[in-house]
Amino acid sequence: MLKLVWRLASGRVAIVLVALIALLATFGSLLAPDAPNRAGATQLQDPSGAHLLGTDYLGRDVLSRLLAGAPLSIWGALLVAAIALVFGGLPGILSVYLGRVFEWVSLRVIDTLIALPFLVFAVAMTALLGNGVIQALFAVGFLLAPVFYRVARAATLSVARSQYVEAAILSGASTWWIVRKHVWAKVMPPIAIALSTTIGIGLVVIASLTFLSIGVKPPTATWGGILASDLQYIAIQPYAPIAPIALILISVLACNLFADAARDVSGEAGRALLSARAVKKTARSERQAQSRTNLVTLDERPSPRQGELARQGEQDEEGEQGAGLSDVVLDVRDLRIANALVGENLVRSVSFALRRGRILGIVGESGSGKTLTCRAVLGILPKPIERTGGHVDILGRRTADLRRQDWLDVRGDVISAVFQDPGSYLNPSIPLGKQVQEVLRVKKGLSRRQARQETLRLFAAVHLREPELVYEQYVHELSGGMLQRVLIATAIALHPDILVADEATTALDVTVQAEILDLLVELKEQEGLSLVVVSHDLAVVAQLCDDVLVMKSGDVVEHGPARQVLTSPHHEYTKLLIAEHERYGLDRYIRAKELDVV
Amino acid sequence: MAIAVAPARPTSRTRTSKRRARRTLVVLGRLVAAFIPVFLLGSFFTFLLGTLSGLNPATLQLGEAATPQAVHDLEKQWGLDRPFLVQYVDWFGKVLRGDFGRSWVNGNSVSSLLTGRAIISLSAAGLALLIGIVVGFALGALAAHYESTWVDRTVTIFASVMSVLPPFIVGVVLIDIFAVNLNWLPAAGYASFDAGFGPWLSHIILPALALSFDTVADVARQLRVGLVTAKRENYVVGAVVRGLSGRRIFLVHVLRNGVGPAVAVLGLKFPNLLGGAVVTESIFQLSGYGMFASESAIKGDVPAVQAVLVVAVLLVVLFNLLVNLLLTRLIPAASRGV
Repeated sequence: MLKLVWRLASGRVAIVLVALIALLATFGSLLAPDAPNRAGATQLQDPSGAHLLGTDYLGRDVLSRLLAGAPLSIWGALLVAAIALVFGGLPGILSVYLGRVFEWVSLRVIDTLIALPFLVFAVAMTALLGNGVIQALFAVGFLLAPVFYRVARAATLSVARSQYVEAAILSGASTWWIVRKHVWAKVMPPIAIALSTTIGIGLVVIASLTFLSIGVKPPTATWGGILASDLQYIAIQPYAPIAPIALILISVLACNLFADAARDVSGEAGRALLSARAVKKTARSERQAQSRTNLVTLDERPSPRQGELARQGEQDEEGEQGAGLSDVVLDVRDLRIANALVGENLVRSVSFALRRGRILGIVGESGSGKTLTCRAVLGILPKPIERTGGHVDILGRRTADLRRQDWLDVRGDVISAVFQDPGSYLNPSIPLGKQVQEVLRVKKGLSRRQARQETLRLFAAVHLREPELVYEQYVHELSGGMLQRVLIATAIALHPDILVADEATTALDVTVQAEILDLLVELKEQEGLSLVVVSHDLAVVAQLCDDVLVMKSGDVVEHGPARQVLTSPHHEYTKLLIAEHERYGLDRYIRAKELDVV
Repeated sequence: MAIAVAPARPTSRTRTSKRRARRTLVVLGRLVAAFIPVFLLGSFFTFLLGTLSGLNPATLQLGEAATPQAVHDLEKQWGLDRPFLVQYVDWFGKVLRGDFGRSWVNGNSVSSLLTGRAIISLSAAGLALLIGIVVGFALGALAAHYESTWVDRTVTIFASVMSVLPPFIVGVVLIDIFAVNLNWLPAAGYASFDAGFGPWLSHIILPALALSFDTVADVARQLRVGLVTAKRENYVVGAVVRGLSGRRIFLVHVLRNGVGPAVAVLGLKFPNLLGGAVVTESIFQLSGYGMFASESAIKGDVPAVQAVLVVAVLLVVLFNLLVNLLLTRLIPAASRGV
């Protein structure tokens, strides 16, 4: 673990600081120029050659006192952490193995300890139990025990539930053997992290207690005590507190830095971090080498097939010129999408035109780029992913020219969308009706009452059986099918021209899926919507769409009227899709059954 | 009662509101049930501490030279000769009625000694809490809004520095700066609210600031994490697609859902704010309940110490109850887990 921490720059600083502080605690008093309690010099002197940090109110050398106070502060903090480890860690591990009663009681005790106002209890315990250093250390250690209880319990639980431990239990291994062999390895890293954090807290608490002169008697030199006496004479020596404060803070900082570094390098995340760094280094040098040699080959040249497709698209347009270009509500030309961070092309040259009142289907397996295409159309590509070429026109407006404010007028009013897993696209903390009402109020300027009426009408329009009830309900209270209806209601609230349905029926029951598809068709008729329906399911597309776009790994492989694509596919991939449907679909099974009967 | 009222069919709206009221009650019940063991154990622990100390009023009042007979008489008078559990139940019953017994030192009623001081401590802790919430929320929201820019990094570093600074160090530095060097604020003492808001605030602001650092830092960090997580949620995409403005999405949708961890951490920080009173009150010489606790503990005045501790535990429990209720109001889905 130390080795791993050393590999981080912050870890190296932490280790050096911790080592210095350990040296200070061990050998510090040997360096002291004077006895810590010898009062002889002039009182309250400023720093000078004789007294590097000046003298205190009794004329004692401040530097000597600070060095003499180091062992109590530092070893004290270590002891506190060790005591907390025993008081907390042991019950934490045992709580998993010793049965329900012990588990319940220990959990309640830990809950209570966490709720106790820490410092007041530390002070009260120390003072009432005899007001000595030992009492102070035990009181603080006991109060800090919950940290280790939780860490140890969590780690043990994760081990206890794992399969190799179950195997060990089944093969008759004793509890103690399991703890020693398996639990230890898993529990140690988080405990090491908790230990260094706790040592930091212990330093602060011990300084606080000694500041209040709790647990130590006056002549004893402590960092907290020195700070307290500095506070008494702060009007005369305003800079005196700097030295003790610096010592306390540097020690605490060292512990926290170490804990952070240890956290960074431990566990899966840590291994990933370290290896990622290594990879980055090699990748950088490789990239440099590459960029020098083959600048040319990296240039992308349009493949022959893409050219062919583009031509096909043009032909389409010519063929249906009669319908009139003004009828096109959504026009996507040569759209290209790439991950700007790594320069990977995700979607290459997608083109299609959606006419008013028509339904366009986009089919393809996951990762084929259909969702990215939708997001590009809506202008909501996630951060490193960008549109790198082509254009999208919504009602003749080029989206590349839309400013943030313009988008607000386009989204919801002109184009809207519904998605897979509808529940996640609705706010879990706001009643469903309020979310539709919000859109109507904010964007249409309806009053609360009007917006409520309109929301209820919309809920009825998407065939929610009890609009009033649903209005008050939350996401977690409805089924997926009902949530999709609510999401559709929010999407059509402002009567948009275009609705993008991205896998809107995926993961719903087959009957519910059919109902939602019927609803989409119904809305198309009633509200005059034009739809883009994205699905990996050929059946959905076949049922709904006028035109179909088939995508595979970022390319459009087939594009045409639905009937033509489905009955006489050109591309191998489309053929495969249809063949699979025929082989595994229910139709074939039923047909086979019918043949049997006959 | 002869008039037959046709039973009005409850509309679904009243039905839902009734359902909601019932659910709130259930949640409240569960929360109370969860906090009762904490309070019971806390009070038991407090009482046990007094017994473990081995102190009794005899050593305080009669000194070392007390005869065994005198000690025995005094213990009998205070009821200390009874079995431990009997004493605990008796004490706990009185605590529930607000009676904390009498001080071993001067025989005065502890509750009357405590009330005036508690107000001082609660002023400081309350103001610290307010600072923690306001500044912490501002910093956290700022960092989340400008995620992974220099603003975010500055806030993060600032918060980690703040969280390492213990109240007694911050207190000393604040006195050094604002009372000694700039001479703007009084270094010590307390002015009651009756003396006016200005004097009260000028005495209480430095202690409150010193106490608040840790809370500011943790609230800021938790809020940042909560908001950053909420920003990546699908419902934000949903709201964008509905054409809502960025500001509205942040204030209504992201904040509402991302605020959970920050509110929850307030529940954890409150004990620290109360506990920290011991140190800040000593620095700023406020005779609050923290000061009372440490003075009484050093004197060995067990009933007084027990009173302070049990009141503190009660305050923590009540505050956490409040925090949890707020959380279930803010994030209704969370109440399923209670």
